Amino acid sequence: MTPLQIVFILVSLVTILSAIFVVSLRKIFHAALWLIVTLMGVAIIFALLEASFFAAVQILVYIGAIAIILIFAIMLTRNIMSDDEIQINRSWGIVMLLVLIFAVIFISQLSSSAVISTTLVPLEFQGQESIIAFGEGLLDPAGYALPFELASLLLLGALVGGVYIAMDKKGGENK
Amino acid sequence: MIPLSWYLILAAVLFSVGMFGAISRKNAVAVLISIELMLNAVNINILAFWHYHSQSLGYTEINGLVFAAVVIIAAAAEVAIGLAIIIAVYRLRKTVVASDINVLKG
Repeated sequence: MTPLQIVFILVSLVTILSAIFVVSLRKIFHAALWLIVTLMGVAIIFALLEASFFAAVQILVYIGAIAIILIFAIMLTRNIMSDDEIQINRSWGIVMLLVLIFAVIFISQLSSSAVISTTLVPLEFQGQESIIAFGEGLLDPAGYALPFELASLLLLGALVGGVYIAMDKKGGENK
Repeated sequence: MIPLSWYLILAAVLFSVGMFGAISRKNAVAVLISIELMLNAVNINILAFWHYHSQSLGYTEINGLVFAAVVIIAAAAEVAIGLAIIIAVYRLRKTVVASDINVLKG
């Protein structure tokens, strides 16, 4: 085993364990904090894949924005659902069975295909070359300029729509 | 020197855990958190195949990077809209339990 493989195994064990905490803890606030550990593990996995830009984006966007906005929403709606209540619904046994069947089918299909024997070697190009190619591709009219602009429109629409949906339309009694 | 299949198995397990949470949790915010786990698993898959394709081509292949970026953008938009809907419903019905939000039920 190379040191890189040991790092991968440790990181993925931490990621999976904290993901299980995220879906099973009764205190929703603690689940959100464990989500941050999971996202950090995924960021390390991205770094191992030599996608350094996405490791940084994962920390900035997921941990810095999405996890914080989720914690905001949890604190705003906290007094409604008490932490002692059962947090999963009655059919969780069936759901767990289905999910286990899904995982077993997926992993067995994976281990019987040819992809099992391929290994990822370090990429030949060094430094910032992949980030430069990514940026040029996003602004290239023959490449991905249109999806890039559409993504900015999607974000603008989400911003305006989020403000509109969450706005208090009756004027509010606690003004 | 990590095998490609390790990444795929990690992504499959993470996706399964997220799917369990998304179907079985009561709290709507917890359902959104589980969906974030599933989207992260998808991104691991995309970037693992991006690395594999780049190493076999010998140069940087940008399609996989663009797909991963679009997944992250869609996740950000989805979480903003989802939380706005949850807060609007909370103001109207005083609940965040997904099965109690049944106004459209026939």
